[in-house]
Amino acid sequence: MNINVFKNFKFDKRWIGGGLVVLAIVVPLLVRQFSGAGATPVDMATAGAQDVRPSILASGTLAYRTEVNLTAEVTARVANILVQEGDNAAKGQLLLRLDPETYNNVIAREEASVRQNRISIDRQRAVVALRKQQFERSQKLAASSLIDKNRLDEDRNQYIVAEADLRSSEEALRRATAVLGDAREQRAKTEIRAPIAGRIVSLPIKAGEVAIPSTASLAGAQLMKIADVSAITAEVKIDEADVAKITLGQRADVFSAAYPDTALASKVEKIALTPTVDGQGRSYKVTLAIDAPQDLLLRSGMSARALVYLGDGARRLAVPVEAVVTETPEKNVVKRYVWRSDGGVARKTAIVTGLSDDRWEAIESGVSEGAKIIIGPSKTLRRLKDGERVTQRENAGGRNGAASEDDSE
Amino acid sequence: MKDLLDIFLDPGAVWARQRDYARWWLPLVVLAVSTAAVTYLFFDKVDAGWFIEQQILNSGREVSEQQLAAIREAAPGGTFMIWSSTIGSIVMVVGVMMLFGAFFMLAGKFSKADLSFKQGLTLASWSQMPTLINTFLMMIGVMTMSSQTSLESLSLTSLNALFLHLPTDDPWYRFTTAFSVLVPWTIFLAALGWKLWAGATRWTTSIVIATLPHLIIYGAMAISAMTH
Repeated sequence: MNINVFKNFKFDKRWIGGGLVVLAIVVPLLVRQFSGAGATPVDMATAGAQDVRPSILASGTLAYRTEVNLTAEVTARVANILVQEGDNAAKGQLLLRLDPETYNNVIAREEASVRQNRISIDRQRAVVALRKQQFERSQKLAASSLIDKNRLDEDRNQYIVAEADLRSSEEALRRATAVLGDAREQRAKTEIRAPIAGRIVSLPIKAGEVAIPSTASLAGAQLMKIADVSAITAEVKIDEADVAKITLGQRADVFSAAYPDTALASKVEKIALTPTVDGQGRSYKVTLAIDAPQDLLLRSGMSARALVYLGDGARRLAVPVEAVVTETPEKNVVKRYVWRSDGGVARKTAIVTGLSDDRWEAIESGVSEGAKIIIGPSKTLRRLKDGERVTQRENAGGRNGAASEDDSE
Repeated sequence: MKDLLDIFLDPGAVWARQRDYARWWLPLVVLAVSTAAVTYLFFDKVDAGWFIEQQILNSGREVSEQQLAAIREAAPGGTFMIWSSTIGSIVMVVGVMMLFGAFFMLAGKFSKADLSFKQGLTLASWSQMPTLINTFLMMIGVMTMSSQTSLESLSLTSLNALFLHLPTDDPWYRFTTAFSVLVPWTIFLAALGWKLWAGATRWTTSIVIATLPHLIIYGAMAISAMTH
């Protein structure tokens, strides 16, 4: 019987048209329902705890922790230099000798002067003794009225004058002794000794040149520089607008010119209390103690830039900065939002932001950890509307997706 | 009226009947009215400020938030936009059909088939009837859409909606959104009509003639996409 049904069945070509109509209606509706077509493609990231590290950029130079510039205190020709640049020196070690000849001559002259004064004192003492005897004798004779009163007065006066002359000679001796001491001290200054234990990092003067006592950068003013090379610091200039945010102990990354890609971990060690005025602005010198690896050949005076991190280093709930939309509905009123993907539906969510750096914006309130946040494309973010269907973009999701996954873990 | 259904189910019979009384206005009215209805309902429902903003953003011009706000302020009122778009859609449908009709008339002259403009217009408008399916789907879309939906996203039979899902800033977005999978159907209907009316013995000529106007329109769009 069934066979008969099929035999009697005549194919009507109208079925083709009818089938096409049904297909043309049903298929697009099904595709729309199941492919997510119509949803706006977006990039998403997960809100999670991040290292939000706002920072201040500063530039400066590297410097050894202790550096001493040795200058001459007396003007003299350099007789001989006992060290070379790069040599290590112990504290008190003789480094350089200036020509002492001039000072030797002065000392000889002053020693002679001292001796001369001593002789003079001996002579004066003899005179005083003589005048004393003469005066005592005159007193006895005057008592017997053998000499008149005038003679007695004369002898007394001569005795007093002789004593005064003696005291004067004694003072002259003291003066000559002091001058001799001065001369010896001056000669001692022709020997330059190491004030600290360290390395000779700079030796601009040469034997035969004349060293002069000056702090100006004149030729011959600087003899050498000795530094404690066991520790190096960065001295950077922080703008006056930012210096209030810097506190002792804050972490920083220093990048030296020789190793521009190597971040040298460091800490704020010193903050100057007075500014340095240079050119157009005022800045404060901040010293950063660098914990430098031994294999890096860092030198004093190298240019360096530093990122001083202001936060406390704690991880906090944050979203990528590009996800935060700022609106000014009224004058002087700023509102911040992020777009959440709530089960594939975009939801505009007001947030309160905290610290931020060039990558993350900390969220004080408005979004909880794990929320799917729409971060781009920026063109789409500008035109998104509340309730719009969204889907993860396929071709560009990799970078952001991977980053957000890594960071959220 | 039977022909309105038969053009989908038994197009050969429709062409045979229409050859004699060339009722060109019936499908034209149906197409124009349905398109106008969808357009009216869409613009009645869509967020006018948002729609204009999207048009500007999609044009690829760089505009600031302030400029966008100013444009939203200066945008014409909803009623104006509804009616201008509705009337515009009718003019568009009628205009395109007349161009297609004129093309078939000219093609008739060249191939000595001797088709009048009225017959050309009949051929054009009846062969476009499958696009009613897209209009019907758009109507469903308009009923269920949110106020911020683009007109293009409602065209469910387009290449983009069915297969590609390209983003709006893709150079091929315009082409793939305009090109409907119903186009081959309309070409088949026009080719069948031509074959019967012009007495062509071979399908090739009919198909070439029916394809040519589409080729010009979509070819221009494809070149524009390639040179973007």
